[in-house]
Amino acid sequence: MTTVGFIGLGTMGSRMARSMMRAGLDLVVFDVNPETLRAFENEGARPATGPAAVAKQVDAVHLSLPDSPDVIAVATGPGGIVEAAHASLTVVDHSSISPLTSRRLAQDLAAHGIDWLDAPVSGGPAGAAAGSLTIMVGGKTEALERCRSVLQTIGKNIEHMGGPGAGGTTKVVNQLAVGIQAMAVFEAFTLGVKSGIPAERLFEVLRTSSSASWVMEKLVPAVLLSNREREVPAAWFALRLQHKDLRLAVETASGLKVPLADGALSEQLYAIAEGLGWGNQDQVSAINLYADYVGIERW
Amino acid sequence: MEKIGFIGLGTMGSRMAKNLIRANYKLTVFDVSEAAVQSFVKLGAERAGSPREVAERTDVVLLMVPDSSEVLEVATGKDGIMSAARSGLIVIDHSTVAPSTPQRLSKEFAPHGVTWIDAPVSGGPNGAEAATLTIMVGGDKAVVERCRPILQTMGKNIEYMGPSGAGSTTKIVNNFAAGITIIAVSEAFTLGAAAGIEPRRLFEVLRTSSSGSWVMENLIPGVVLANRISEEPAARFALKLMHKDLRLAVAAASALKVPLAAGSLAEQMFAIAEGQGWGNQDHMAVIKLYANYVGIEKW
Repeated sequence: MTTVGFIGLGTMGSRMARSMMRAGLDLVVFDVNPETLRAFENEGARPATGPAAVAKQVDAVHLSLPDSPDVIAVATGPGGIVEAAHASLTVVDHSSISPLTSRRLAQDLAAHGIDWLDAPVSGGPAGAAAGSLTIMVGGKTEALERCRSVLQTIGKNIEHMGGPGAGGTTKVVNQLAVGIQAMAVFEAFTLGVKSGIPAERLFEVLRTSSSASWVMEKLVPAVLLSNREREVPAAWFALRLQHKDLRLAVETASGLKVPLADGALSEQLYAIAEGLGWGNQDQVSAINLYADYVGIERW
Repeated sequence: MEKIGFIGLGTMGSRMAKNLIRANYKLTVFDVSEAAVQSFVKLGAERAGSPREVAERTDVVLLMVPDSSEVLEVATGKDGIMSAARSGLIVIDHSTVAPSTPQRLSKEFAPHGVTWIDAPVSGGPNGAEAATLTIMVGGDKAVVERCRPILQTMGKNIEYMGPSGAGSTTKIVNNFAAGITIIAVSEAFTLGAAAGIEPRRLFEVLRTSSSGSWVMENLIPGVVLANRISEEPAARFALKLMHKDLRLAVAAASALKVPLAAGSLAEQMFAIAEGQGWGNQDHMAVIKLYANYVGIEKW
């Protein structure tokens, strides 16, 4: 039986870990929340006292943490994974963090003989639970091949994008385009509806035209036309998470000296929306920045 | 069969008029270019000396001219359609103009018994040639339905959108959303490439992800990855035409007091690009505003 480590059992991590266990993997887990740890122990996972303790017992440690500082601390901080460095140890990071941070961590860990894969995911909690995530991987081919069968218990499309940071970059780039295209949809529907065209009719025509996109196709009928954008918990993807991804995009672009006019604008608008308290609503609720001013209450 | 008038035999108008001739409609034509008129006389059309003459001798007058000012000139200028206004005359304006233009003209012509229909098209010269245009129609519903056979000789999807101005609104909304999407795709691919991800690989993965769009699918491989960005004449859609559509969107939004953050930014970016002399290149050429700074010469 294959044994893997899993650190970070939040919304995504808990579902990924459970998919792994359902597939027959033996898990050694850690989370800062002792109740979460106890729950996983009751389900058959082996709790550890910290990241180093996890790393000592396995050849691959999977991470699903909120932000860059958390990943840095777990990997290289006191009591971190580096303290249990051993041959053939690989860290597989599923967190959405800056690709530039991933590259630095990959280098730091390599100095200890530890391999690194940035492997952020797409598909949300539902995808994690169903084991159908898309996983965008950056890192050495040999490391990916060693981890592939485990990744296949949580993901359907495992895309190797290049060296360390390439997985994170792909995710960031995808989310950047999604964030801007969401703005396009918000503005298009606000202008169209304010001009007197019913939202459903507009959707019918635009979805077959040059402005069509996955964002329009999936989010307009499910969230907007159903008037579910203000629901909490978020139907599809929380606004604060999209904002976080846009901040990562801006940060990454800045680090690489890439201009990001519309990306920066989208990040600003999501910041305003989050500041208004809409962080836990669906990302589509940012449309209310427009709709509230124009006076559209229902779509 | 109705007697049809056609005013404006340019890139789009000439192809649309030819499809009408192929469908055996009797055409009376007018254009400021004698050469254009001559080529249609050779095809069996009758020439008129002015828009007034066209309206006098036909039942349905079609227009395809570059701008609002030309539409107004043809409609209510010297020797314009208004001089020959009579009950039952129908005008179908295929030009892309602000919704306020057909709304105003519709009101002005109504007391004379003339119906004004806005019916801008989508699909470019290729779509006009192949009679596969999408035509977005606004105006009196019963009259539009009577004219459907005429429209079906030139287009595949004839979409009735609502009262006068609704056709123009839909076209402008679609095109500005597509314009924003072009910026989204430009920023995403520039960031990905600058971070070291091979553009073709990035396209492979993003096209099946949540950032997929018509723009990405149709313009990235054919224009960007094929390194045909700076070609003239533009194969598909000239940058200056997209800029025009964005200006119309900004104006329409302003008139309705609808905020248009991303749309306004996109209009600015296209203005900068047109100012660089790229007006006759493909509308995807705006990507060079990013690529040039980052140093990408070939994709």
